Amino acid sequence: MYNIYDNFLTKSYHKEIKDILTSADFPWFYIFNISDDTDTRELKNEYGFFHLLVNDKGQSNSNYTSFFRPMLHQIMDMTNTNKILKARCDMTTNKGIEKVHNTHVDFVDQTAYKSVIFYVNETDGDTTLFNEKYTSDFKDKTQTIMKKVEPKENRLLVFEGDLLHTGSSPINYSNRILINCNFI
Amino acid sequence: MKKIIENFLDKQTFIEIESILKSEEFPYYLQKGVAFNKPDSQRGILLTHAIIRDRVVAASEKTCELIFDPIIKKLKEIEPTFKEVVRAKINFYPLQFKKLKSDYHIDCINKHKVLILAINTCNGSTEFEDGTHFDAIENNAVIFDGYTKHRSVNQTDELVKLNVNINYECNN
Repeated sequence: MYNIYDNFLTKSYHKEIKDILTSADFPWFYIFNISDDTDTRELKNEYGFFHLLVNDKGQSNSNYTSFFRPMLHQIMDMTNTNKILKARCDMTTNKGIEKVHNTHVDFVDQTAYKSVIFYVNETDGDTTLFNEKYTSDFKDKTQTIMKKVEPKENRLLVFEGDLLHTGSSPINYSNRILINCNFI
Repeated sequence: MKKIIENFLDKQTFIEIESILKSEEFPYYLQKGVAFNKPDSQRGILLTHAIIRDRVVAASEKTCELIFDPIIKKLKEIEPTFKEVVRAKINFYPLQFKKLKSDYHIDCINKHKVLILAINTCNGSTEFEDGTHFDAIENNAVIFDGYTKHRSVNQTDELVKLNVNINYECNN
């Protein structure tokens, strides 16, 4: 149901990605809910920052996309997929409290796709994979934890897209940066 | 000496600027945190959008036209001896669930003045070394001498604390 690949990219390519995403030159866009489309402005704790590389129409959306394409193609080869559904850099920041985000899937209207998380920087804030798959009423049900994955830098996590999952904000580091992408 | 100006911009201009700065389409850039002498986890989070950096325009033409120009126009009305902007940026502090204070500092070493324009109301503030503070109340601005040491205090009640920080020189 899931696979973890450590040291996924070559050392220098990973470093270059990390340097770009942690630099003061990389544009981040604020979003009040980093996990899904629910309006959580009142809760005030789901916010994060994103930078879209490939939008949900499969189109390049950033001047940085071409730099990330080799990584995206390497993931496609590894997962036996041939189309990028979406690719996005995500950053959650230290909120001063431990915060697990909303349980979700990345696409509710897509089947047989892969969800992939590439952890960029050294940080904390586990990704939790649940045993249960997405159903329209999953929020009314209890989920059981399949695996908690630590965000080790240069680690790739691959799992079935319909598997419920969630991330969390860092508490011991200032930020947690990853690349979240989906393939079919 | 500090001067606080309420309703710094006219309402319509302010709403337009606020809307741009809060939109998901306006980029911010990660800084190393505000409290440099603290460990990574306690530094606080700060993102900025530079408009003028070392007297050189760093933002897009559109950002200058829609955000910077109206503020400078108003500033010139208040400061008849206004000469030049040394640095201008937008500060974006995401919500923290505990108060973090940056170190006391000055922004530039040359003689200058500082304008801070609060874009939204929250329980964050700017504190001055003399014990006074400027509360983050939307469309309120404070002007003070550039040698006055100050520090930012983040908010714990709103998703974001946004302000525009301008360092400028005057003639004489």
